[in-house]
Amino acid sequence: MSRLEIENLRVQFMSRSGPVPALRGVNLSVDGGRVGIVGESGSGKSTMGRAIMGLLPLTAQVSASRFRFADVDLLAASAAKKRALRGRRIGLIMQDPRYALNPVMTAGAQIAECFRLHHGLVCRAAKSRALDLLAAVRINDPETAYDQYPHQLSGGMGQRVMIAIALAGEPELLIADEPTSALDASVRTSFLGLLDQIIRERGMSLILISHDLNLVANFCDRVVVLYGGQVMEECTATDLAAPHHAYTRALAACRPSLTERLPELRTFTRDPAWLEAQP
Amino acid sequence: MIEIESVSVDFHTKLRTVRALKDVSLSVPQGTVFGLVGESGSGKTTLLRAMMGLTAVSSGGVKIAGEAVRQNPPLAFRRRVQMVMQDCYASLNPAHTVDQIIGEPLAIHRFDNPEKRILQALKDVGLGPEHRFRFPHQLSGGQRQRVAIARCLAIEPQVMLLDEPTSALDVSIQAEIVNLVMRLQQQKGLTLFIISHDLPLVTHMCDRLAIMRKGMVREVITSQDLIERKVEDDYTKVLLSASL
Repeated sequence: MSRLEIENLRVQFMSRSGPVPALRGVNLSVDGGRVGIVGESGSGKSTMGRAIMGLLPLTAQVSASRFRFADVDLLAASAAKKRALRGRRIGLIMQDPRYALNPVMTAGAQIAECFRLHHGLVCRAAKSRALDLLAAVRINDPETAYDQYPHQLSGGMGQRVMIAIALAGEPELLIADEPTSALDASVRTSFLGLLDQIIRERGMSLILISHDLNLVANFCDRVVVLYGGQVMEECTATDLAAPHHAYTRALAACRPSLTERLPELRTFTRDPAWLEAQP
Repeated sequence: MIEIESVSVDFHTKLRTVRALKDVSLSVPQGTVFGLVGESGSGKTTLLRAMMGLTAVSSGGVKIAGEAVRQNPPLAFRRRVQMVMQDCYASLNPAHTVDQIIGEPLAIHRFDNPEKRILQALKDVGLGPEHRFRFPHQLSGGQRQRVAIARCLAIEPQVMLLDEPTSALDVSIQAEIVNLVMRLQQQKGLTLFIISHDLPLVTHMCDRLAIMRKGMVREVITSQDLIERKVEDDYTKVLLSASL
């Protein structure tokens, strides 16, 4: 199993009014299993995923004392080396299939393209592998779906096509950035079941990025809570039932519940000390 | 306050006719909060658009405050019924300041003293005078949704329709907006009609809620019954177990 090791990762975006820090010294190590990254918007969770994929814009400055995936130093790697990593060894599932899929290519062609690029397969072999993969992500009629354009697919099906694309390179690490936020509650359950099955069958590591504490607690082994570009808390998913950090506790408490009806939802004020507590 | 009587809505394409709503009947008394839950494609937004007179109904009808809703309703109807849209990143004019955004409906409905009303509307939603001359891109998501709510409240409506009012926001911000809406509802005695796919959220906010699927209302249930799991419809049970 390939290890992802991140120590003291800092990312800042250069802007006209000076540098804007997005990540301020984050540590993360993934070696098999499922890691969840939770945080609100602006906490830096997507920046983290993009930094690992090497997909940050040119205005980003990345520094770290250690930033490696398997035998590749992600800080020093050339563009070509990073490209060889993307899709092939690290896969990415993005948030919304409506925006992430290419609207002028059929679903099948987009999957077959991965097989052509990563495995050097020719058209017909690529197509048959793509059809297998569509069946593996539980699309009922792969032949029909293969020739459909993204706008003809439902949200749940689009998201399955996205998994298929991510799986085509047979990556060792899968990064899923809010994979279910565009899906309905009932579709979400079946989607997560599928993701769970695929990860177990293929022995991949998973980084699940989400704003939903509940979802991550149920699905992952380990959870990292981000706030303002810093790790507030890292714990096992079972420990999340009784979190240590005030921020995690507050975040868990403000969700409406289906078991009791409070007169008001709980809110919290952000303590500036949360951002200074870490070195 | 709101009477929906066997409303059906058809959409016609070249090839076929899609029945988006099938014989939907609901009734919401004045001053109460009603929720509509369903998956995407279940017809929630179509029903809301029919209630606003934005979509023609094929049969049946909607009455709000005793007046039948028709397409292109008169100004007086809009004055009573207002709507908050789902995506606060898209529903505010990016070229207008907050002042202009809230001032526009006041001008359309010929309210006197707009200056005072704009400041009062901002105060109602917990924003200060310092936000008044900002553009939407200078505000956070939660602040934008507050502006959208202030824009509705400025003209003192009786009924407010909210289409997924917090789905673009974080849970912590969602809690603040929900508390704000509920506080304003009680202060002003508003009738609220809320659409969401988030069952826990609707259960928290509403007195009664309807579960929709494939253009039909499957069950109308009080929030208390839902919390006590007095659920009859199978689909509601599925939705309930998926939301836990």
